[in-house]
Amino acid sequence: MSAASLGVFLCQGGRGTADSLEFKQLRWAAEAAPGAVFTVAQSCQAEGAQAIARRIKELGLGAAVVGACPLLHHPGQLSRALAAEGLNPDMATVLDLCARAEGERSGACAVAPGAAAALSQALSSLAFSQELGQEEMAVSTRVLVLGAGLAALMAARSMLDAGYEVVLLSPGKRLTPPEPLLGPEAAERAGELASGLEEASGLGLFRQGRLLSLGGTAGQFTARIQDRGGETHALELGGVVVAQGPPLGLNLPPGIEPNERVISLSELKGLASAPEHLKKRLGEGPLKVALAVGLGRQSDPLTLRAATLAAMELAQDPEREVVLFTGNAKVAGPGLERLTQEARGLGVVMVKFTSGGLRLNAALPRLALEWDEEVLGRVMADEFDLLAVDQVPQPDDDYRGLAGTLGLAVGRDGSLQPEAISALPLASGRGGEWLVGPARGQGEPMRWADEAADAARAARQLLGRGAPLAETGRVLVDRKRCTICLTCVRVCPQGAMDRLFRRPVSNPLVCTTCGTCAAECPMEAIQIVGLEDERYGQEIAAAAGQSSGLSPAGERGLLVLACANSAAPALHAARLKGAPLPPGARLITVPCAGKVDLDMVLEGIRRGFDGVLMLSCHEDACQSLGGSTWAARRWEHLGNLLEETGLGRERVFRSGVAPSQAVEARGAIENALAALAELGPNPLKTGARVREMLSRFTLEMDDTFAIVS
Amino acid sequence: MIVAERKPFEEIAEASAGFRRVLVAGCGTCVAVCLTGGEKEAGILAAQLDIAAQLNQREQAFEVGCVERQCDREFLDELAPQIEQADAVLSLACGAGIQFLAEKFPEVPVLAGVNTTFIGINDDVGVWQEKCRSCRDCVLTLTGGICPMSLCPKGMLNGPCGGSDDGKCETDPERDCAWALISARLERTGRLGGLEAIVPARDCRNALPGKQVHPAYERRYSAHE
Amino acid sequence: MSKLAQALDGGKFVLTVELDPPRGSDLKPLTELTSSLGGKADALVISDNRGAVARMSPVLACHHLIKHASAEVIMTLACRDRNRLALASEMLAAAAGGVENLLVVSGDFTTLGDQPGAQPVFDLDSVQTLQLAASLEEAAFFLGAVLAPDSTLMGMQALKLRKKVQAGAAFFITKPISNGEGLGALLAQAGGEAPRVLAGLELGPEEDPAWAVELARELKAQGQAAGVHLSCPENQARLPELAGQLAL
Repeated sequence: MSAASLGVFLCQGGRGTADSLEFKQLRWAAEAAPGAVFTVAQSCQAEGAQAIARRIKELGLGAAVVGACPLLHHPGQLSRALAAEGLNPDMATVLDLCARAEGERSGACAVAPGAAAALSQALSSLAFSQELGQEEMAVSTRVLVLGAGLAALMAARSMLDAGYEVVLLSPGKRLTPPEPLLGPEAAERAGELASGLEEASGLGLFRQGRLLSLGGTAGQFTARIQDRGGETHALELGGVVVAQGPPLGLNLPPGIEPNERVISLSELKGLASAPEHLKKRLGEGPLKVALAVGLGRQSDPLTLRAATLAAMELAQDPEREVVLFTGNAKVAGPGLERLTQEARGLGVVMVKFTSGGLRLNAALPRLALEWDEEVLGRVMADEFDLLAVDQVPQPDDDYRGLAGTLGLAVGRDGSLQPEAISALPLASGRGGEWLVGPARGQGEPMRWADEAADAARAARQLLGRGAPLAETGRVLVDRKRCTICLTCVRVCPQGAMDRLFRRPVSNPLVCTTCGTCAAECPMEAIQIVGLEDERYGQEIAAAAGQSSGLSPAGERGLLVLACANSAAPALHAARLKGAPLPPGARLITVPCAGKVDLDMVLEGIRRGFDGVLMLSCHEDACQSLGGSTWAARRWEHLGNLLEETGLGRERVFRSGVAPSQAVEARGAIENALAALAELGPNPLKTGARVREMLSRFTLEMDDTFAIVS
Repeated sequence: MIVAERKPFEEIAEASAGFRRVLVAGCGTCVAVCLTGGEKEAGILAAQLDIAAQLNQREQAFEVGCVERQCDREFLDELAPQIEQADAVLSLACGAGIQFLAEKFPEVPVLAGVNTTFIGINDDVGVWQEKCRSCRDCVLTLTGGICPMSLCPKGMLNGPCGGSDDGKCETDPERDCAWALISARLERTGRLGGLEAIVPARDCRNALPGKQVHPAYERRYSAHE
Repeated sequence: MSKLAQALDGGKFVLTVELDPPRGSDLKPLTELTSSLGGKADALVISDNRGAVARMSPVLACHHLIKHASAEVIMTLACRDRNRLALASEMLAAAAGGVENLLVVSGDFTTLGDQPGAQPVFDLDSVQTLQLAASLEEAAFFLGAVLAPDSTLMGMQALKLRKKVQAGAAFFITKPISNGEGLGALLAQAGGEAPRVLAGLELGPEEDPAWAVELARELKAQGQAAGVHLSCPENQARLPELAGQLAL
């Protein structure tokens, strides 16, 4: 982009605006960039927009920045005017520099506080924006499905139907191992799928196979699989569906060991349907059976349903007394209430115990149970012949090993589901690996078919027909700086970093350019094109230069580093609702909090900002699945670093917001400003001002602007 | 690789307080990998020192430099232009790098910014473990690839001491007893028998400063050529 | 041949008692304690900076007790504080002062003591120190070493026992035990000729010694040990009375 090709248009708005000091500051900021500067009247009117478009065409400008109010942007007037002139409708960037809230068509126009800084920032960041070409990437169209049973079979079927070659790796001999919670229809469906798949072409099957390793990244995974004969097979894979859940164990509170009278619900179901086994085990005569759901960890509605059905089956025999205890269980499920009524009708006693739990003396021969009855509000006790409890995922060493091989972590609930579940439903912590069914936690099999279909859709999106388009060259690793410490490979929340010819390379198919790799790199060797450290350095300088030199006395300068996925949209929504950034706050948008480099924050402090606020996604809802977690850890460290210098940690703030939390986002800024008002000005401010002044007198034009020209 | 940790900030700030222009010199290999002295950490330390200097009204300027390795003279040469402008160099390299830098630039005061901790492995992001004491008398063949010199605080060569308790060390209930690890490993690989012979006292002449010449280069460094 | 060696050779069920040298320079209390022990113990084990806490050198303490209390002493020598030069020089000094029995130990690690920053030496380990002692022509010690019967590393401890025997250990003192099972198992695992073992019995400052007396009787009756080694580290003033009960 040459100097002559950039135009900066500043809307004078209503009467008197052009004479205000604020508008003059805007002009100075624009003139600092060696592009052409124009003023326009009333850009919110169609005529104003048309005038801009005509001028752009006359001068043959390559790009334009228009400083105006949201009115220009919102109705798309400028785009239409540009299109009418035969120009690219997206060639102009509209900057909201107005203090007026949207919708207030009438009333005086006024330049927003901080508008000059925002303009400087925009002009400096514009220099870095760069379009990159897209290239076809060669990927494998083979998908590995891990697991057996309904979910895995559904996933394999969906992938085959989507046109992918499927390798199904079943940990056991059977493709349809017993899944007691699912009921007969599901078992039948699984059987159908299994026989259909066994005959299908395009399916490779490993029974009792083991995944030994999974290298590479999405689209280009390389797997080593051991078959049951012990032979190893190397496979190239485009993607992996993990439908294998952890093994199930009895849902007992810690410290209680199962014995022959404490069994699982599924075992009980087996016994109930075979009375001779039950008699053999517990003898003849009347029988008192307790069923308990949610004794240890929380149980789901499906489990409660299965338990209720089992209790009903047992209660068919009038000689049996059946009590169903429910504790930590989600009880809202389709048809559950009606089922409960039916069970009561059959004589099943339903007891809800409170958080005090069900105390159990499992000493033989009889089981003594004691519980706090929720309705009566007193302690109850009884003895039983048998206690059946539900089962919950209990990952064993094998499952943890599998997770490790997949590059995933086993979560607190025993599943592979990352904590940031709300962001991307099927996503795992590694791009190109999708979680389906039991791998996502306690089952909700009603959704498994949808999940399998979603996985196939995700595969199509990622792999296409084997040559997906991807933007290459966005993440650059400087070979001269890189020391191959593997930090980037280990921190990438998407598992997008791989080693190629011994150097880290980012896979554009799954990279979200969250920037975590760049922020963590100990050699500053990673730069994201358009989001370089240099760009942010110049943005900070632009924002700080304006704030330290020109802000009114007593005003606090707060640098807000806002995540583009959450905080930036939240603040934009706040602006549209009439709540612009408070005076003193300067906004810099980052692709993800993962990109927030400690250097950036320290630079902000040294530039004279009174404080720095990082606004990220909530940690459990990070759009890049972990960038904000890395950022939060760095923030802790940052506090210590500032503490060491003597400045203290009180000037840096961190808050998590969702894109919808306009009020909270703005509230976090106001809170930080209030805290800074208490703390007083940054003691480095005077020095920063002096240096700012000196640099103006001694330096020629800053590099930023040279690039624009 | 060599692992180091940054010295306490106060110690660094005090040592550098008397110099106006300080070059913070990072090293791009081992200390970069252990997130202690690479380009990023050098930049952060310089920023911290700058903030502290301003708060204490000290007129100081901190500049950052980083080379591939401070233990190679060719790379150190790259620092020369910056060092010429500096009143002191604060090196974030390991002890070897700091010394070599001092040797190469005899005129400039050299300050140590890190404590070199050990030779270890890179376990995961931000975690390192000591594995080798560079004793020059490796017994790993005998001990199943687990070093009793570095993992046993007493450096026991002939089996565990009496303080080994339930697989843990007497010095810390969290620390594995090296000999418990060695025993398990050798049992697994069927090589326990190798431990029967008494390992003689080690030769501590390695306490003398080391110097090593590759056999292929002996002639080159001999007095005769 | 030392009196201890004679007693063991003669098949006597031996009793040894552990005493610490003073933390100061006054040897009078130690001498008095030794006198009040009278003939109840066959030998006194004089510790060496036990628990990595600095005390008077056991060499001087032993000399003093030999000279002024005619005691039969077993001098402890820890690998922790001395390199091979210092170990040899202490051995020679001990021999010159009439010490005939030497107990070689690794020593509790420095960080557990009152000078946690001290340099841990461990130039030689206990096996190598036994070799060194055995190699001194000028001093023919009756050499002892330590056994850890209740260790979970039974195989390794058995290996160590064999190495210590090979290096010259003629008797063993066990770490404190509460029953004879571990010792039996360790000796069985070590194989070879059963060494002479004194079972370590440690009592708390106020603890009733009945169990220890019973265990000692049992060990004697079953021939599992050649004697017992009594310690009461937190209340050594009790030792004369305890020794009276344990002298079988």
